[in-house]
Amino acid sequence: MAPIAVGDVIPDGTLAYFDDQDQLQSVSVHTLAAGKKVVLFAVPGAFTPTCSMKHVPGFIEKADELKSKGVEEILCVSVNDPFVMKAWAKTYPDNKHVKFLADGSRTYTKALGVELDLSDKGLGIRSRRFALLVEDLKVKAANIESGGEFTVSSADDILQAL
Amino acid sequence: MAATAAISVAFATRKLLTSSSRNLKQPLSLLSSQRRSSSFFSISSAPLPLRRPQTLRFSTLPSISATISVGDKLPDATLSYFDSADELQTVSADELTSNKKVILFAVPGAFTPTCSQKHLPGFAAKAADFKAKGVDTIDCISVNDAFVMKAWKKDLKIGDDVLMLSDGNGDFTGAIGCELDLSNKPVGLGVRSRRYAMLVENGVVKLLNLEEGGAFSVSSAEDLLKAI
Repeated sequence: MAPIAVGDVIPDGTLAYFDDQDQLQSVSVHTLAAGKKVVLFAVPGAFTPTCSMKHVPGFIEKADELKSKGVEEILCVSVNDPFVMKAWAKTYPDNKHVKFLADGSRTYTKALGVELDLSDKGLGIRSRRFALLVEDLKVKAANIESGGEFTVSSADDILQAL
Repeated sequence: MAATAAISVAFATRKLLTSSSRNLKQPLSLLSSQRRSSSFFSISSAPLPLRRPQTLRFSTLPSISATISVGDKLPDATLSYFDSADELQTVSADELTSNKKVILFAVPGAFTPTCSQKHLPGFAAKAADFKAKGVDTIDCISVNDAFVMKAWKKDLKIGDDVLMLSDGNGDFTGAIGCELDLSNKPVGLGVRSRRYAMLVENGVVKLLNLEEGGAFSVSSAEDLLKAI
């Protein structure tokens, strides 16, 4: 299916995370994003180099600036289970605003049309790297990489779109 | 940790339907620490699944491998890991086990409570005891990618006594018929591996302590040490 694009309404879906009390929570994307300006960005894999050393830190550093421009949620999604996402989030102790959400069964990634086959790297099927700016569920900017490269999906790219 | 108890309660009461071809309903106790079986362990008293025909073929389902048993040769499959120079390496089950005495144990998921707190550290702690009994290598397998396995090893400060192997696409786990389908769980774990610990000599399974799901009753380092 065609990947999500500007003008689309983002599909609803369920993502998971472990809260501060280590309780498993699931959250609907529509509930999180309705009536708000949110940034949704995805990485091919937790603990992988580009994701860990560039993509995520960029959003953590620019979180305050994004918030000052009206962004209420910054959501990081990956096809990893919530145990892994929680462990990965812990490696960013300075993070205040970015929420690490697990799309463990890949259903949301599939709904967005952004699956990326990394089986030959032993990663199975993951998500393409992307960053979306969404306002009241409507996609305003869709910066989707063709795979895992890092050229258009950074926090700076989203800031330019705001 | 209170979290472990909370998750144990949440999962202990769920029923798991495994793949339809197996037609089994069995309770799932993914992350509960069950009481240990009696101190004397023998193969005949292990909670092993029933013997199945070699492959089951259906028009819409892929072929499913029989669950591995004592006496079987390990199937050919490739696993991956990051070496001490941080280079990604692949290795076949054959290369891992030929002309060696190897302990292979599997966990349903890196960073999950029982695995993190008991199973993996248990084997790391007993590494010297295993070596004294002639074991050449101790390998930990999970259906997680190699990046996650590397991060998990670092998080638990596991030394080089245990080799962390990624069965990223689940090929090895599928080939030995030890898949654990957790796709219906809200936690989004997909298809993982049942927990087990095995002793493999020159590629042939000599001992197999296989759990029903993620239970932790027969597959610890202590259980295996007693049986070697």
